[in-house]
Amino acid sequence: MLLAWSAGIVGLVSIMNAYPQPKTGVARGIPVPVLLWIATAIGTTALLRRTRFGRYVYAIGGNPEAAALAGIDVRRVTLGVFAWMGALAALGAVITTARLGAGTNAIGTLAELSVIADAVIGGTSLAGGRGSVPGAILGALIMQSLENGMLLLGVSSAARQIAIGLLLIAAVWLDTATRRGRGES
Amino acid sequence: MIERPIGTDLGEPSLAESPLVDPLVEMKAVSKRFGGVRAVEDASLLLRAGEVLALLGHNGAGKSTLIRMLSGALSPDSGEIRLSGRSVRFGSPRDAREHGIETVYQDLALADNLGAAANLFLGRERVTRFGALDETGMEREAREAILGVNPRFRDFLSPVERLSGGERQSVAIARAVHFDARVLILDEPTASLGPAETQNVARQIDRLREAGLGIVLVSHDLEDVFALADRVVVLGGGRVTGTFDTPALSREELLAAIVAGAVAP
Repeated sequence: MLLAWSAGIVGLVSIMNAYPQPKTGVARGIPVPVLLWIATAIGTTALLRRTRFGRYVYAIGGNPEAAALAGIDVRRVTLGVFAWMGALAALGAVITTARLGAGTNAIGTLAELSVIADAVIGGTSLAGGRGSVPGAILGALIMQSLENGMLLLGVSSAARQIAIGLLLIAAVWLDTATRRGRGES
Repeated sequence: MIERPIGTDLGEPSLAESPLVDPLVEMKAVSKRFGGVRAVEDASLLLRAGEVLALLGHNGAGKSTLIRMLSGALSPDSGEIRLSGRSVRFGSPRDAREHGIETVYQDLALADNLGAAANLFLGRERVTRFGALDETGMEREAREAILGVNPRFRDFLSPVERLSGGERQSVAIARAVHFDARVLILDEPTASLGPAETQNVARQIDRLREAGLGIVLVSHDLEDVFALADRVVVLGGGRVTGTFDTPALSREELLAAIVAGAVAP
């Protein structure tokens, strides 16, 4: 396990360093947004899996009444989730602004739709109580690969939107279907 | 679970008036109104350690309101709840739990997406020195606690939604008694169980009574009541319409009392 992780880290670093700057020949290294992404993914996973707060987030998603009866302050935990989400959105905004070198108030409009789609495709349940950070990352990877691939194939913008919409519908359908299979209402 | 002395000999019908045995819980003239509806009116009941008290009554008789006042989910408009002789007030179920009053709800109140250990420790998680969840420690303890309730329990890792009704019940009961409960409220514990699982719950109730807990049993099933309870309190129209000792009680008497409660003003 540890070996696989170290191999993965060494691999990532060497790939990232394999591309030199055209003028100077110095390796480009790992972009700061990628480092931030790794730190955020590990940090959020730890928060969800290793702390009481994360346990409460899953418990409230599974059965809010039971969580309240178990003495969990549902409102406070919900507030915490929104605060964390806001902080992550702010981080995304900082990265976007830094990349563009400028800011406008309309940046990121409708980005939430693709974010939700990524999470759902990555296994997050819309009914709550299920999902993970690696899953969401995988979902984002699938969505962006699809989008990018279709762009390179020259698929029209309208057709791309339709394809992604269909994928989202399929993911939601799968989520509901498996939930029914598990015996939930 | 802490061993407690069994202070009562439950065969004695005169025990209800005996001053020697300190009541564990005493609800004195409690009332609760919802708007103009008197859900519970001037109801009193006594619960001793090592006793199973059944609460009977038709629908709307005030059983669940009374239970919810004891479990801290509702607070009474008037009247008093005494625990081991001391007056207590519960602002939330958490307060009641801190006083050792645990409830197994009819729907069990489990987080279906979490495993047995996570549910057992829900709201009371152990953490390590670094603030992380102590998963291994909690799982070890949960294994012990649940096997103590149900020796045939096997699946400690799956989300509890994959477990059978009886196994889920075992998790809920283990959770209620693991943290030094003194009073256990069981709301319709056998309503959704098959005969074999009902038997197991009955065994568990007997064992907990032996251990000295005071148990309040809400049930519709007269068979269960006769098999398990030491005393029966019948509610009707929000009032206590009768208290009986089960050994001296016939089915006809009890049914008559429930029906009388149903027509009481």
